Amino acid sequence: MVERKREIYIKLENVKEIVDLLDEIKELEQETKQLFQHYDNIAAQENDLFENWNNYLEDILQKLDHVTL
Amino acid sequence: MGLFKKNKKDNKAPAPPGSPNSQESGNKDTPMPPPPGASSSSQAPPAPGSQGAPTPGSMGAQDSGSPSTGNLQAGMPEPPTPSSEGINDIKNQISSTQGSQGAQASGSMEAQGSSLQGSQPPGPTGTSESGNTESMASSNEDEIDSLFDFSDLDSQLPGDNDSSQEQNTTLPATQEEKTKNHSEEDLRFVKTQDSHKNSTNESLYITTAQFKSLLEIVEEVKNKAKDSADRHLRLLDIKSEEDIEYENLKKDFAFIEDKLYEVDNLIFEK
Repeated sequence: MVERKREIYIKLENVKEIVDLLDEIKELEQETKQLFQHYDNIAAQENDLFENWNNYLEDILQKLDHVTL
Repeated sequence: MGLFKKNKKDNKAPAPPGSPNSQESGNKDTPMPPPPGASSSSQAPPAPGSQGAPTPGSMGAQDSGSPSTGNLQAGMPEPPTPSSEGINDIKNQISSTQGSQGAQASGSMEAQGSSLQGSQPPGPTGTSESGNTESMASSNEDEIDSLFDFSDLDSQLPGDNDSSQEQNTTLPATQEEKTKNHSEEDLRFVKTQDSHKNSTNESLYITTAQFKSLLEIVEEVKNKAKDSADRHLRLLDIKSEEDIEYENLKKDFAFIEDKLYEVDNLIFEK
């Protein structure tokens, strides 16, 4: 019993353009990752500022409570 | 034509022993060419190389009656044996053609030759059953060789053309290899630099499974790009809401600051 298997091959032309496009996509992905890391850093700084601002406001409220006219 | 080439080769084989009868007795058993009016398809299947048949002018009278033509059909199926009347007609035709080889009109002979060329099926060699001697066979071979220009026919054959093309392709291939080796020595350093680029310029053959996985990867990248765009839009929305909240807080602090200044003025100016 002879089993014959015919394989179909697909010819890809302009492989260089495809590879360049994939390289560009990879570079954009890396840039996006870096931008998200930068965004995370900015968000951390923002949280720090909010915490400091919260402490400052609490201090003001405590001082206003002590003010008597 | 492949049949005639076979004929040339097969004729070199020793003729089988046959009865020392005349040529006519042998022609009784051998498949005879059809009468000039008979169609070639009715007698036997056409020869495979009928397209490359020689020109009608080159067809000779001996071809229709030459016993050595039986060697042409070595290994081919035998045709249906004609009736005795047909054989007699063919005998008469052969005798008439052999008698007046050069004097006969070319049209009738061309018809016979063409019908022979297309319809004469392979069968047992005429020399084997007819008992012709080897000298007769060799003389008929020479006559056939003189009548047919096999070189022209060989050039018309597709199979032979393939072989000739192969030879033509192999010869330039060797020359190309030599020039390639010579140029490779000169451009070795250039090729080492551009080997990666040259490899990417070539077309690539991939299987269907690989192509499917490639499409899946492309689809995945496409979905990721779409998700990234959606998330960027969400971040922009959040940023705009944040900006609005910051503006409100700034207004509130400005209002508180104004109130504090008013209180300060009320207390310390009095």
